[in-house]
Amino acid sequence: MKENKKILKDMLSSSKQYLHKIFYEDETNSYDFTLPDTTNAIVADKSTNYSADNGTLNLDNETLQSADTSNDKVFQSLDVNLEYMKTRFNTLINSDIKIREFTLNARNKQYNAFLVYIDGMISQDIMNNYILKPLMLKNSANSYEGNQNRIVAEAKTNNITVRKVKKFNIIEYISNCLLPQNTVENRTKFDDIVADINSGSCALFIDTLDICFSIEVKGFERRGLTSPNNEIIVRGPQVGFTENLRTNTSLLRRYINNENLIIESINVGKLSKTSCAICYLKNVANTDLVSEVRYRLNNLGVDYLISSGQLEQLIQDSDLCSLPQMVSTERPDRAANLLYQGRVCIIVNGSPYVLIAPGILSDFLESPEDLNLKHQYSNFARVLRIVSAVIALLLPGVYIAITNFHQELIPTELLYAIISSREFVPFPILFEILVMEFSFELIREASLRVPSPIGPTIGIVGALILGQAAVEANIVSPILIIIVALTGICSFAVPDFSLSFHFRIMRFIYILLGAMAGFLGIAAGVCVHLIVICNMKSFGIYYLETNLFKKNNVGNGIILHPAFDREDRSGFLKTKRPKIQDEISMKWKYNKN
Amino acid sequence: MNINKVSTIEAIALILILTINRLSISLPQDIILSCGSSSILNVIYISIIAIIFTIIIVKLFKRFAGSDIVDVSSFLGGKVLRNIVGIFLILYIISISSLLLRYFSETLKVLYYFDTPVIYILLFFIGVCIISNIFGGHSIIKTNLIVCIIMLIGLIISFLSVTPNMTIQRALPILGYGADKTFFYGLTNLIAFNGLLILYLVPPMLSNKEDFKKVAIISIIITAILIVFAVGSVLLAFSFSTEIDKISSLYMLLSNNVFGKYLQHPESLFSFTWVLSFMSYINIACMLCIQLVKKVTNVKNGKPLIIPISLIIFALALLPKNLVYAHQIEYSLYTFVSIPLLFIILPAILIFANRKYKKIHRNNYDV
Repeated sequence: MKENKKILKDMLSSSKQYLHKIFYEDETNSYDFTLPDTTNAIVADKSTNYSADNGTLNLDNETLQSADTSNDKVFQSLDVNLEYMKTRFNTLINSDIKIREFTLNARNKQYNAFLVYIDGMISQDIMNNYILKPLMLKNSANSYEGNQNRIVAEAKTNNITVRKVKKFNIIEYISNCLLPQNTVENRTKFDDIVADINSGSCALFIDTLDICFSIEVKGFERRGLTSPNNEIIVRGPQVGFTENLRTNTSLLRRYINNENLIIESINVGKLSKTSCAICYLKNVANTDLVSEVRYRLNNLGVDYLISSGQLEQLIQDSDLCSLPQMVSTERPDRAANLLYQGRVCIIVNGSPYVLIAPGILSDFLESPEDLNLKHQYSNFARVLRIVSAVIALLLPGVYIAITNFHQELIPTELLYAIISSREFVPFPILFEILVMEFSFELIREASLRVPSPIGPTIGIVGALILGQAAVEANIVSPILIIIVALTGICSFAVPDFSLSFHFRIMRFIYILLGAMAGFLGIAAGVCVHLIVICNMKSFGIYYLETNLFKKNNVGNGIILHPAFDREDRSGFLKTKRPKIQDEISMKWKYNKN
Repeated sequence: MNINKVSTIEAIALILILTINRLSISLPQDIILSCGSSSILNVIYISIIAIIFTIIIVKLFKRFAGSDIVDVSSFLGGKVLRNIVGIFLILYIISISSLLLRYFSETLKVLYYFDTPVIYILLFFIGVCIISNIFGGHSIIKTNLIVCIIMLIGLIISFLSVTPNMTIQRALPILGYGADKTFFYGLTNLIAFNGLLILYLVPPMLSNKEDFKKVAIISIIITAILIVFAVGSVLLAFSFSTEIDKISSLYMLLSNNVFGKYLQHPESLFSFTWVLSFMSYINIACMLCIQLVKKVTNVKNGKPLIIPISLIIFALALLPKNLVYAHQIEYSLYTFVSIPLLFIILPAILIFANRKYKKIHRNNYDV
């Protein structure tokens, strides 16, 4: 008896605790990141100054971002130049910017020097054999000790010899004798030097010289680059990412000729140590967004990482919904475009697909071709894609709802046609549609798995022969074949593979809901679907951003504005540079500066 | 589940959804049956009153920026008044939403699901309500905006599509059953603006508290326009002297309209949008109840309340015997509870709170 009382008491107290816990304690803290407003928006302040005193440069990257660098010239002090270049290129975090410090031999004298270049953009062979070797190793060219001045002209009058001499010039000497390259430019302005480095040259700085040698050593990866397999476009570049990380970063650098493109290296996987790169534009992307991406990548407790698809699942916000939450692209032009907008790219070594964060719903309905076409063409294609996405998702469900519950929607003649076509079909519509949809998915999956020459054959066999046979055997009605085929075609028009997959799964749910309660069931499905989508976040940004109606955004709306009217970056990205172009971008037309 | 970042457009949609739902079921025929051919005149009259009333409410809330009626009650009468007002509002929202839910479900049953028990239809709404509230207020409000836009487009198309059937003479005699019925007894039609309830609750939810005035006035003007169009299209297409069917007048209007050879009866498509908006309405009702319960009881975590509140709405929706019964209770509730509550009790609380505020800050120059 006493024991029972004790048990009852314990139960009461534990239930009290439980009730207290659920009613009077905060909701359990789930990880929730919301992108805050940028704290350091870039404002070009031409008055920002910095000076080189006592061989040191009082400069940081933030100051540089807001300063006018167009008049910055090469300093005489090598240390100052080195510090300037390091700051300008963010070498502490930028993994593919290489600075090689060495001792240069010229006329038996030794000078401190350094080279700046971008790994992946230059030819290693040229760099080693034709730049570093002649400069560093002692040879007949740099050992020649000819300190005497060169006589240009000589004249003798009254035993007086007048000689016109040219003084020895180290710059000319290095350029003419030590750099066996076809294109060597002498640069004095840092902006020119940085532009050259970004386009694949290397910059040679030498102590005491206030000029820099810009040497062309371009050596992009050319062989092995193929056109993208799954993001095919008509008008636009036909090059895709490869499995090599450095090749991919160089592909990005080719599109973004700017020193603010930061490529950070991170290794993921306790055993595999897979090299990954986080790419972003330092003067555009929101710092908190970059930090969040870095934080998630740095905090992965996995043994190995094989592909970007695996990484996507490990760093996405929620696994509750099958919708893709990051853009996955194999096109460098698309990745570059999104980087310019203020997004962050993640490249995984060994994967030709680059991840871009954050991704919102409209990103997955966009085609990389949209920006290459006139806005009227793009908008037409976009509307077509949205309509086809809705059809791919809802058509079979709506068909079953109409035929079972809302027959009045169908014109009388068509209703008779449907009834007569189903006259000899013994199965209910739900069974018919499930069989056909399942067969269609089966054909699609089978044609992917078989060797490519047989793939189309399986499609034809499946679609034509099987469909025709099913109709003739009275297993399904002909109208259903049209419905399933139309749904299939529309699902192919969805540009993103993952989104298309999501629609394929959801379609079956809508079929069941339509069969259960007609439009009521479909409305319930749509409502819950919308709720889930509205609740989803991708790296702190709501998936269904409602600033779709905002004008002038780059490409986050349903309607793409004309190129001259795309003035603002997407507001939801909270970038450091809200404007993407001047208010009057076509200055040639309106004659405004 | 704290909601404090509702944008202006989302707040407007929040107010609109309460009115729009009643348009699709009983509101137009209730107004027409009470005023006859003077319904349009009556609606314009009550719209002007509602707009003036809204402006007064906005003025009264000016001193309590970012506070809702429960906070104002707390300021006026302490915890006791806060709890009384809070509990009364919770009961009101639950009862109104459950009765409307039953009425709408019965309408659906009559139109499409003859052999289906009404409990089956109700379960869809309650299921969606539970799932939606689990996902949180933010997604409910965002979804509501999308649904509201779809619903508005549907309503505009349906109004436009019936214009060829309209006859202006049906609005004559202009005073209908008489001036007293139009202007005095017709005042009860102010229940058409029951969306005003949200005005008393929305201030703390707004991301920009200064936008309250804009939200209130724009939403009431849009509501007024929609009601005028809905009543106008039903009145001018049917004769008021003929008995308007008790089942959704807007649905009957669309089903009697000829849309052409290929799309003979598209009213099911419109009813699809109505179902969507009704689901959104129930989600919002449940969400508001949870917010109020949290405020009254100081509960921090609202999630355990979702299922009990949804089940109460479901159980109450099952109480009326049939459609007519549900409509009668709903109409009585609107007439005898909504009007005194929205237009007398809550404004009175605001007026007294303002007086108290003035008294407290008498020495301050900023009052």
